[in-house]
Amino acid sequence: MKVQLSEEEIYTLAEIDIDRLCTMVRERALMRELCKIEDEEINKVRMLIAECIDIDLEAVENEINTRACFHSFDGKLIVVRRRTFDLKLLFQEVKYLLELGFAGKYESILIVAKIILSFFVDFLDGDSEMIFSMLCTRYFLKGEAIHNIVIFEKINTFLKEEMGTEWSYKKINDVLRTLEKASVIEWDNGNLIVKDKIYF
Amino acid sequence: MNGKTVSDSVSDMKEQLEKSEHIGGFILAILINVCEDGLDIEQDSENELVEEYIILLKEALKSDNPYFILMVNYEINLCCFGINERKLLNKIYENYLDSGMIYPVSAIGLHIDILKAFFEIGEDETGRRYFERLKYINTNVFGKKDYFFCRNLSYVIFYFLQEYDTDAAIYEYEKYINDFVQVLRHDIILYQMQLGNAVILVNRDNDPEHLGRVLEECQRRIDKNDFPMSAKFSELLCRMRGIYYRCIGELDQAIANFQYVIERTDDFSSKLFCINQIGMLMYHKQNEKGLWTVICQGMETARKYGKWDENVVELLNLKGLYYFLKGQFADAADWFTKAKRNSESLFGENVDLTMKYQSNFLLARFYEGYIEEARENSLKLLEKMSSFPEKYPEALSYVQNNLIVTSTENRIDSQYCKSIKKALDSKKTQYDLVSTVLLKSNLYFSYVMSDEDANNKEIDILEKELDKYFQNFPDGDSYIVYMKARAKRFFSLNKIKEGYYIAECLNDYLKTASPESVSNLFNINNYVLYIRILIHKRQFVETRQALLGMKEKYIIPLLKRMENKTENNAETIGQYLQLYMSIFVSTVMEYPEVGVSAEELYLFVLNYKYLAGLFYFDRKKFKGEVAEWYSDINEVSINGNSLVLEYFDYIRHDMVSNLTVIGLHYADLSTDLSQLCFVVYRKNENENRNVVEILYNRLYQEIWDDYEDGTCQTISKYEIEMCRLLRPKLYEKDKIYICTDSILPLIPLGAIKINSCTYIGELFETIYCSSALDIKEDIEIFDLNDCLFVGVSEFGELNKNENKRLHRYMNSLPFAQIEVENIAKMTGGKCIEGTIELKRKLPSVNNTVIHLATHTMMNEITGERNVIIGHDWENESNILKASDIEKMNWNNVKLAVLSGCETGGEIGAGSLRWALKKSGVKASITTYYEVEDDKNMFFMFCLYKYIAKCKKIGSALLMAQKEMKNITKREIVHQWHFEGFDVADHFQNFGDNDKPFANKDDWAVYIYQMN
Repeated sequence: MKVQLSEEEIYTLAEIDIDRLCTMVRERALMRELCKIEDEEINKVRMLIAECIDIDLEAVENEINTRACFHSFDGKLIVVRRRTFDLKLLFQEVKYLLELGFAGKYESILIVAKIILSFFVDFLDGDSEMIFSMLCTRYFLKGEAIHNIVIFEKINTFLKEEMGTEWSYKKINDVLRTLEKASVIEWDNGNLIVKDKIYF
Repeated sequence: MNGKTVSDSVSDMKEQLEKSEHIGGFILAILINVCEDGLDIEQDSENELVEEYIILLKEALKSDNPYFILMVNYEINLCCFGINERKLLNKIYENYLDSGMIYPVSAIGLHIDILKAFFEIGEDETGRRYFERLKYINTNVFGKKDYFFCRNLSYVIFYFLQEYDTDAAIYEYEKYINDFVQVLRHDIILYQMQLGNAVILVNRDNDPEHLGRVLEECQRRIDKNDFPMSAKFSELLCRMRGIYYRCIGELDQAIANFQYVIERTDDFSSKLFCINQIGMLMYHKQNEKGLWTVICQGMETARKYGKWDENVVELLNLKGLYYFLKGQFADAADWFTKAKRNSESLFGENVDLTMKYQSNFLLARFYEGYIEEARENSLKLLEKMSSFPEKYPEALSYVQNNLIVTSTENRIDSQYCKSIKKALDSKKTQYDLVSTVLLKSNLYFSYVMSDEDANNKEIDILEKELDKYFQNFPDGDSYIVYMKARAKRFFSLNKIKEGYYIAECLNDYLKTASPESVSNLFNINNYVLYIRILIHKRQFVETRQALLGMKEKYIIPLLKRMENKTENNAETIGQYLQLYMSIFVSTVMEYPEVGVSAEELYLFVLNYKYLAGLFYFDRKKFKGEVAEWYSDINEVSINGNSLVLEYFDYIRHDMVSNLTVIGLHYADLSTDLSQLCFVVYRKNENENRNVVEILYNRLYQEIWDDYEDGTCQTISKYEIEMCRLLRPKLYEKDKIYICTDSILPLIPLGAIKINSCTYIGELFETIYCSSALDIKEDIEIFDLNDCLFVGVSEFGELNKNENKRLHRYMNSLPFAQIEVENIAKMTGGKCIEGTIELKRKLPSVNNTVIHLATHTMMNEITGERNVIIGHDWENESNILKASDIEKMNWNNVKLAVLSGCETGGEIGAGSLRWALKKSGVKASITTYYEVEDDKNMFFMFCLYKYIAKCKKIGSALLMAQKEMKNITKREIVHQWHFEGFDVADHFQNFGDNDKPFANKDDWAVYIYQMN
């Protein structure tokens, strides 16, 4: 059952404490990037999150005999069947903002987008999270499907810039396998594809 | 400039110049007035303004010579306003210089003062123009290779440009250096300027060798006696040498040079600077005694000095560092606060120095145990600095580093590498090894930890730099961090022998170093290292001592630190405790050779669980008993008929593999979360000693996999395994206590099948409690007529609120009302309907039993469960939150029954079972899963029937469960009668011999919790 949900309805059904999430975004941006997220940007974050969440609802029978409570939507009892987060849309939005010349004002939006990923792909550790956000940026923002021949080199160039060191091939391989296993990336003729949507 | 002249712009700044701290600024302000009034200092010498101007010039120039005053006046005019009266100026110079005078230093001093005034009010461009004109005059009057030209320019470079405009300083220096060297070879200003220039280059290129080369050149000249040596210059040279040696990590050489200055200088400020430098080096060497001696010397000097400046404030900070080194964190925090306050009043709140002291204060608070507060305030500090990071080169790196290192115990990955790298990059003086050694060690640690196979150039370079430093000074926190990572790297490269060599060196160091600083409660890795070394050396007796000693050294001190804390503020200490316990259990389980028996392990776990529980549920008792430790297994008061299952959840740490010896990797809950289950019992009724065994020790993932293996119809591997383990222990037992306070077992013990058609719950009383020390005799209820029953059946229509599309919906519960009315009738208790008034009355309810039959509602976001106590549940007054129940004073209530869905399905903060325990209720009956309205009513009716009969809750529950499972429709219709409800009609679809409640979900989901 597909319905148009309001921002508030989305957070409720996605079971997201949006205020807490925004606080964590602020903290991480500050600690990792020394980037102070202003209130205006936080509002943008809230909007972005709501836009990227897709909730698939299922109507259930009204005859319930338990002492538990349910959600109802437009007069029907519902349960949440599937929740997805649209990565493609997230980065499209970021790209749109940057192209519109908001770069100065919303420079931190990209930082925020990368942090948001970690909340929806919470099974990733910090290492895979960092690489995944890099791959998402390249794939969705720059349209780059990195070939497996050059991926080690590209990742190491990125790591050199970010943290001043490189990883062993084994380590990079392990991280890519983790991402593959988590079904957030796949290979197509040797080119890396980032999945458009992730379940959470 | 919009047609505005320099003159206009200078005139505009008059007001600011008047307030300048520099006399040059003030003189300039008056000169502007003089010019604005059209006055001439020669012709209008009687004018008050002119008089004041001349007096000030005389004072600044320390001269009464009218030619000199006139000359400087024209220089200032020319430099400020660009008035080009070259002929006149030449004449004035001729007059002055022809009278046999040389160009005095005081004149150039006044120009420097004026330049500083311009820069300090933000008029940099005007200042630069002033400087260019001054240089032009000097070139014209003296010529470029002239002594006065070179000397004057050197003064401006050294005293002004090197401080206010470093790019210009380097430019001018490099442009004229050959002339300077030729002309000023015997003048001290040349060497001062050279040293100053070297310092700028050191900062620009992050390379201390710029300074090293100048110092070497100076030394070469000293050796050749080609040097204008004076006491003052000798001091400067030594101070610079001290700084240079400090930068390259030669601490002893640095100390010797600073000491030389202290012994010879009369300048208190210089003396204090060197004292502070030595103090800081003593701190880095972890030399407590040396640091204290330096502080005493500093205090004495400061007393004589009698002024407050940054060196005196730094002394207060040093004192804080001294206490920090000693592990006296509260005293350290006090002194850091004093340093911060004084820095604030002297230099302001938002300056690098004040922020640095605040950062030190927060780190001391962190180690004092105010972890959450320290982290929160560090983040606030970081936020403040993030707007102008360049303003805080010192403090920013400290705060970033502190935030990172105080959270790396659990989780080390590339995000931390990235953050530490940023912290290091933000520090402008990366070349200064002493002040960056901790950052660099932490960066090295993070690099090594984030890639086990790391074998690359950057790590090698960093390792080489740190290795060289620590070969000379194997001391301090940074040394510990470095050595841990160094050993880990050897292990990663499969150089096991070398890895253990490094680990043992570190272990030896930890044994001899300052015990307070290295055995800090929050440096859990040191303890892990110690245990690992002992195990590696197969010193199991010592390992045993070290493990059992954890109680006195870590567990009790950490518990004591929780005494005066709120629950929120004690969260991190709780995590540390859990971590220590996890290491304890992991080691004991991996190494039976250590010889910690099941009984000893159990007592450790039991005491910890009990004391940690008291913190939340009985703070008064917690304070009284925190140091008490039960050491006798017979303190668990069970008899021959009882069996205790004590559960303990922990993170399994790999204490075997060489690769994970050093440093705690971040715990992966999906792979490392484990459950240890003890069984405590007496072998037979006559025996008077309890026996403890480990029932199982398994990873949660395995337990979940075994559970998912089953379906509703089939028995899961989990149940088969539980039965296999439990069956031999259950002989002659009739009561099982399930002691768990964190993660609930996957299904209620009573719902586990013991054979194809028999469940544990129909054979044994199952009683839940937090730990075995909470076990008491079954609770008895004699006055059932003192019960309070609340039932809510109607909860409004679907979509009552038309303004909202998304609602909560609660179906009607017709049987809730029937339940409370009929039980009240049977017991003689009081039955009331849920009303708005109820929530107000509930806190003071004093009844023996409180029974609430209604819906519950989970707040998915906060995880808190709520009980609905009135029809209009959208009204807050009709929602009884777990947090509301926590605050009730129900100490006289013996039993609380929450007759709704999943009222006991969660445990821990925010759950109803937790809240009831906090309210003071002696026991509770809640539900593990969802329950059906009608079946739940029958069960509750049955339960009260037996409470009335046998008085004891546990026995009544067992009897009710047995009856519910086995009762047939025929028996129900004949034996059970309810007012306002036709039983026969309700079961019309069942055959006479059908058992309507045989399904375990209808009777085995009730939890009797003894608080």
